[in-house]
Amino acid sequence: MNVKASRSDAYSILSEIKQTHRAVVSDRYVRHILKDNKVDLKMHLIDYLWNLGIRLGINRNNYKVPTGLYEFGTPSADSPVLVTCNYKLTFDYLRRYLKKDYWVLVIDTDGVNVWCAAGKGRFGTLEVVRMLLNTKLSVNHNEIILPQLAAPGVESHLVTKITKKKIIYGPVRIEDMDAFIEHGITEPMRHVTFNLKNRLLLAPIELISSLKYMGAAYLLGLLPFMPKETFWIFLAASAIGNVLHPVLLPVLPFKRFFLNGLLLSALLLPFVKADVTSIGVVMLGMLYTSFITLNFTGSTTFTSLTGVEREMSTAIPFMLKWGAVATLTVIVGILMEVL
Amino acid sequence: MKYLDVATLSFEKEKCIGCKRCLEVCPHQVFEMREGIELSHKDKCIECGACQMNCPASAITVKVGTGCASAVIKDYLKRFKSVRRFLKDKCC
Repeated sequence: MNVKASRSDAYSILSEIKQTHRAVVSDRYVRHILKDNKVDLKMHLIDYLWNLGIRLGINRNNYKVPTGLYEFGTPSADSPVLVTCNYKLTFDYLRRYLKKDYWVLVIDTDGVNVWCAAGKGRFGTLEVVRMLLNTKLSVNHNEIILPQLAAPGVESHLVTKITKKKIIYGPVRIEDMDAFIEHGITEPMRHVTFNLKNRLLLAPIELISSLKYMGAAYLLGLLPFMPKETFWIFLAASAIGNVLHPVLLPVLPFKRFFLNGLLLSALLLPFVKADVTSIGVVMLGMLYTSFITLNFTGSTTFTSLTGVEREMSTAIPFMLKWGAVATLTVIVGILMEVL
Repeated sequence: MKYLDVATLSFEKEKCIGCKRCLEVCPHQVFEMREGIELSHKDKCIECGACQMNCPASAITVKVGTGCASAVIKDYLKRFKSVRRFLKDKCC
């Protein structure tokens, strides 16, 4: 079920909760770290192995923690209450970085991370209210800490109105949570950053999912009159788009991603040989790089929908023309060989 | 890093009640506290909608969305019934 992120009122939230039935989530990924609701904070080899698999795209859409209230450390009635998503990768960040004692309420976001789930309304007012109403908290305070990045999905004043809980938005990164509890918020805790490590986290999964096209490129290269390097051209195009572009992102000259991609894809030019066909294939490779970099807009933390639509209004017609010219060049090249 | 400065964010200062929720939720510090709240870095807005959602006075409006080209393409393709079943909704 997809709940749209939009403003709503208390009545519609409550009536929707009555109609919502959630599926039970398997606990196979967390069974070894749970003793009743107590969480083992030590990361085990199996956690790292599964997490590595997720980063490589294996079972990425089914890596969930059952919803409910968990104990991190030995929380008391004074301990803070945190709310988080049910993505196991996120849950493991909590296990690694929370050193103080907390109650952690895991809500159902379909195994999607906090920010993405909030953007789609899944980490939303409805789910937060539903879980708060259905959970018995034995604490002597009234504060609930939500991740800051849940804010696009949650109307905090509405949650307060229905549940009478005070909603506090915590820091962006869970690493800062202990310091936030101790000393309160500081400016950097509220900033979303996009450093080299963040930019490269998605590179493995993108490279691997591009391999299926590499098979097609390999077969294309086997056809008569096609350049033998076809496979390598597309592999290089994928590497430039998926690895080099994220690395160089802060120093690239254009604001439009597809132009930066096109610029970097000039690295493919040495593949051009004396024949016309190779020019066409290299042009197709450049188009591929440019398309990958256009799609990287979705992985960044600083693009807006209106901006992306603006970029695409020039990028897509340009790419279609480029693709047409490239294909024609290949055909002309082959004809020249044949005739 | 900044993107194209075209975000649809707008802020009606007269409606603002000064609760500072927007300062709290914005991931790019678009709002600033001077004499009252000011919209001072609109060019950094990514249209996530956090401020609009959490403004109890409805002083903020923005066309909410995700700045993701493949999502835009997928949304376009979803209009065609025949291709809809081939599209997997696996990303955010």
